Amino acid sequence: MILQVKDIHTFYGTSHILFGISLDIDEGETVCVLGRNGAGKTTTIRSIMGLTRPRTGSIKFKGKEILGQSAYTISRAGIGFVPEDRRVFPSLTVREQLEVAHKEGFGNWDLDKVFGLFPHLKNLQRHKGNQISGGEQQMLTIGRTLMGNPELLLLDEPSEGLAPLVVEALAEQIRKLMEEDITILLSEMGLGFAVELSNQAFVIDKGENKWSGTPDKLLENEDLKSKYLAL
Amino acid sequence: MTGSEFLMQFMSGLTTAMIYFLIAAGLTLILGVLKIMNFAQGGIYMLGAYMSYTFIKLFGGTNYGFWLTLAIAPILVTAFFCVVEVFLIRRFYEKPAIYILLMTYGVLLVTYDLARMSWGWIIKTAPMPPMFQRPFEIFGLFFPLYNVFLIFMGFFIFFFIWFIINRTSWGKIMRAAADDREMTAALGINVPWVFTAVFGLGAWIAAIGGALVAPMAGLSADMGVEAGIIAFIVVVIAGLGSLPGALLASFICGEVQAFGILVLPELAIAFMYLVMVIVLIVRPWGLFGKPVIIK
Ligand SMILES: Nc1ncnc2c1ncn2[C@@H]1O[C@H](COP(=O)(O)OP(=O)(O)OP(=O)(O)O)[C@@H](O)[C@H]1O
Ligand SMILES: [Mg+2]
Repeated sequence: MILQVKDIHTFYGTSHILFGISLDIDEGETVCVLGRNGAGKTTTIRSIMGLTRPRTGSIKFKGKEILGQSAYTISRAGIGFVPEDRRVFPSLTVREQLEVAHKEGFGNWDLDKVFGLFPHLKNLQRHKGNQISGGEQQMLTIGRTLMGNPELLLLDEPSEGLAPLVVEALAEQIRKLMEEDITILLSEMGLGFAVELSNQAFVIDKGENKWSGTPDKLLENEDLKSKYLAL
Repeated sequence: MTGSEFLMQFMSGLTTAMIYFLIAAGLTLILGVLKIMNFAQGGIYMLGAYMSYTFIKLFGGTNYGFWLTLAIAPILVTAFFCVVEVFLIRRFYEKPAIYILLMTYGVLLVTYDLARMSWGWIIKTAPMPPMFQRPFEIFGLFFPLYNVFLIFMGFFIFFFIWFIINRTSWGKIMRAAADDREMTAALGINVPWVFTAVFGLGAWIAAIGGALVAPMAGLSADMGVEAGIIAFIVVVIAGLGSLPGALLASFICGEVQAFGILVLPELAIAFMYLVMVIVLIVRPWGLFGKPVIIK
């Protein structure tokens, strides 16, 4: 098991958001965390990344406890984070933000390989982060995280706000990543592209686990879908 | 006014401008990346000046002693303030801005007392290095060579910082951390140490400013507070966090003062305030600034 999240309770200030979320992810798997608006997907991912530290529980990455460590240490340990709001650096050029994120790690990602996956970025190298479109920003933010050569990639709602054609291209690119043995966690509100790519799904609602299983089982379960997912 | 009078006044304004720039540049850098107002900046400048005074004296007022001082004294002062950043200032970055203001203001007061204790009340001036004890001729006019050197150093330091920020991998990291510190951390960069480095670079610029002023001005503990006010005015005119803006604003302030002195000698310093007020009315975010939010 590469990641083992066990019974985490996370707060924003005094408001209690996650009520004992647990996730088990095996090496090389692609899993998705599904849930409606405000279900706690982002908070779960931020908890794993050490950006919002859970108050109790345990998060083990490759057997080692990472709960309580700083985001920078967790990133160096091999977890990559792609935020839902992309967070490209407005004052760095596309090339610069790829370079700044580069570190040694699990894979062999570098500028050339990122441009291989996202050829379009190559033409935008000199553009500043705030001079590119939303879809381009999504490619950049994924490419940027890949430059850090993570072993586990957390992708928070990567399809959000993208045109259907762009989402299709993105799905293709994520399939290519899956061939690289990288472990991927995707989040999404409904049954879209994440569930198609995954071999394991976790459904959460109001900060609690509701269900987990294979995507096929989930697709059959009308009750579950209507109760917890945005359709 | 004759052409030569104009030139003399312009050069003297440029000298003042460079001193202002060196005082304000570090503040600008720290504000731009760390998003904090460092009230201690004037104190750093003042300690840089005093420390250099001591070293220049120690080396017997020689030329090589002066160069050695420029290399050593600002670094020592910088090291001291890096320690201050790590143990005192760092823990308040994520707190409301008032904590940092009080903290850095406290540090300023401490530098003041430190200077009073170590160097006393009497105004000190470091000896001018022998190599600079001659005038420099431009268009038949004679101008102190040291002032020309100071102007050169001002531009040199401007390009040096500009180069670091825009052309080195350190600069990339600094800009990323300035844009979004949380995302930068999530990419595996140790942001607290980036902040210490930026704070140190900002301190070094102020300290070298002090070092350059040591042989040409009377040093007193009060110069820290005065420098702090000037830096603040320059930064407000420039636009918070803009380095080219700080250079231009320093130039405006220096020249306005140099020519203002001809018109109303008693009020020369007031012209700077006037410029600031006008800028604040016409362009509240400063000449080069974008609207910045300080928590
Ligand atoms: N910074 C914050 N401060 C306080 N409460 C927050 C904060 N961020 C999120 N919340 C609350 O935490 C809950 C979970 O939010 P979270 O962002 O994790 O949901 P999500 O599943 O990612 O939703 P979405 O699909 O809209 O992105 C929501 O009720 C939200 O209102
Ligand atoms: Mg979310």
